[in-house]
Amino acid sequence: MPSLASQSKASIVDAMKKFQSGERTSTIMGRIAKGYTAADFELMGEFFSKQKFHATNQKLDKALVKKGAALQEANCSRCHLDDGKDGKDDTPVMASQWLPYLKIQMDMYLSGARKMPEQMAEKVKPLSKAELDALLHFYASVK
Amino acid sequence: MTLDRRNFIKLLGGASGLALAGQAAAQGKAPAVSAGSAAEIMPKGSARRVIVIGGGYGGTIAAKYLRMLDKSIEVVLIERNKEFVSCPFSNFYIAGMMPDMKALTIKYDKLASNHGIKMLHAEVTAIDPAAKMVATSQGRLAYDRLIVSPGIDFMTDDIEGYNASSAEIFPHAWKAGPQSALLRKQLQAMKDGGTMAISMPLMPFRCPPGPYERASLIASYLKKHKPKSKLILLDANPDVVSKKPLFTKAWKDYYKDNFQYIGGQATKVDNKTKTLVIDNFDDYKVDVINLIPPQRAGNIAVVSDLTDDKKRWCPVDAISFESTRHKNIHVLGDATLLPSDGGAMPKSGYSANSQAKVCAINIVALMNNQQTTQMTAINACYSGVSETESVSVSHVFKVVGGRIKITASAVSPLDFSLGKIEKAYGESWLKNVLTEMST
Repeated sequence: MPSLASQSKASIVDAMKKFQSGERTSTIMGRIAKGYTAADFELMGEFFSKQKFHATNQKLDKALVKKGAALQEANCSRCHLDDGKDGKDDTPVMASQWLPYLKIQMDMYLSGARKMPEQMAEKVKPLSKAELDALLHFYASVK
Repeated sequence: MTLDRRNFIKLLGGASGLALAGQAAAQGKAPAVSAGSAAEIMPKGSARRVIVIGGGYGGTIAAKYLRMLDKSIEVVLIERNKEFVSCPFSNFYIAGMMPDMKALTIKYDKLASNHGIKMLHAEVTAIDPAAKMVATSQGRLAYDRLIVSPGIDFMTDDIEGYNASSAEIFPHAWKAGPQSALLRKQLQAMKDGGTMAISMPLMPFRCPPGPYERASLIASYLKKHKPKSKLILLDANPDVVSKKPLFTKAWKDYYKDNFQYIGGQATKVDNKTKTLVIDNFDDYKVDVINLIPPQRAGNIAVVSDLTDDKKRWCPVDAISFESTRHKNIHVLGDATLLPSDGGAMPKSGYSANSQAKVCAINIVALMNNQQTTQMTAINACYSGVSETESVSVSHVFKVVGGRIKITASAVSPLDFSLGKIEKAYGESWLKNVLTEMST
């Protein structure tokens, strides 16, 4: 599960709408989103965007984190600002998310179950599985 | 598996030599002493005080949110145990899929120090609604408002022969801790080729999918570790009451050779011969018997006149969770009876967590003469169907016209295509919710 604290309002509202419509594949979120209105989503986004960023402590492979840091800088840093700590517009906060969650989401992107924004697809496609894994390790490590 | 229920009698096997865990029996009733008889402790100063009874899924969250919402309110959390062990996910421990109960266990010290909650480890023996006093094993305390989150206790009057020691022979393991350890030990000690029976009660009871999850995970354990063994689930309900298509699929696809689902209600036990009688007719003398008796609100709610005429559940207002029987007393979680249309809120840890937040918000509103908020709440329950796959059910509730209504509800896809991801998300849920309760 992702940490929602400090996510931008736009990214939360966007995610909830996509869960509700089924555009974004999910387990329980799509089913839960159907119980709420667009106005509810706005309130949720408002609330979570005002919460302080929450850092996690995860046991991570240091070599992979280092490799991932370089990949983030070269490929992702124009949208995922401040090492993924800053959620701009509808770009989610990546920093400190649990590694298993990041892996599940990346697998969904790669299988097509979740659609990548064009700019992201351009950057992700040339990367190998091992490089993507390192990238996720980096984001999970950011505090 | 072909098993003729009418003739099924099997001699007791490996369970006989077991050392029994020393948990007090579930039947102990709180003595009905007057709240006024003991010496007063923690005298109330000028600050308004809310006392919370019960440090489980509901009570911890209510105490924490009260303090988060209004620091001027003093909160005392009364809990008899030093640690809390989660019932959700304890079936994985029982079925040998978790090495110990560490991942299920939390302490209260950080919760108390982080939020300035006054922790009192004591047994509550009586509530005096008129004097606004609570009597405990340590003395009596005054409150302005009281939250009672007592969980469940068992109703065993209709099971002939059930007494204080029955739970040590036929563990219920429906309160996590020593009972879970006992059932696991009995299961592991059972010889390959042995038979285990689970007897489950009529609705409503704590965690409707729980017995079916337990059956699935134990069947999975037996298939792997004791392939000649059998498991029988005796359901007092006319049919599977939760996630039926998902569980029946798991039983058919994975466990058809070692598991059987049968109807029937426990009517009698014999502690000496270790026999369970179903529907006054069939004797089950199998190697391990997991007897989950019918349930009602925790004892303190019953002796404090918070339950309905049937002395079973506590009727409450759907907005503030205030008892309809006594003012300034609020009840949370499994113990509640909420007015609802078209489906009740399941008695689950998640429901108690959701209710606790709404209750805290509205108590703070009431104590500050502000408008109360109508609840919207969520419930999500994950159930393991095998060692690697879980399924879920989720609900969204809203209060309409003072009654709870389900606005969305659905279960996992039937093909188990999300099973592995839901296993991971379930574990994540447990970690998150226990962190929320203990920090």
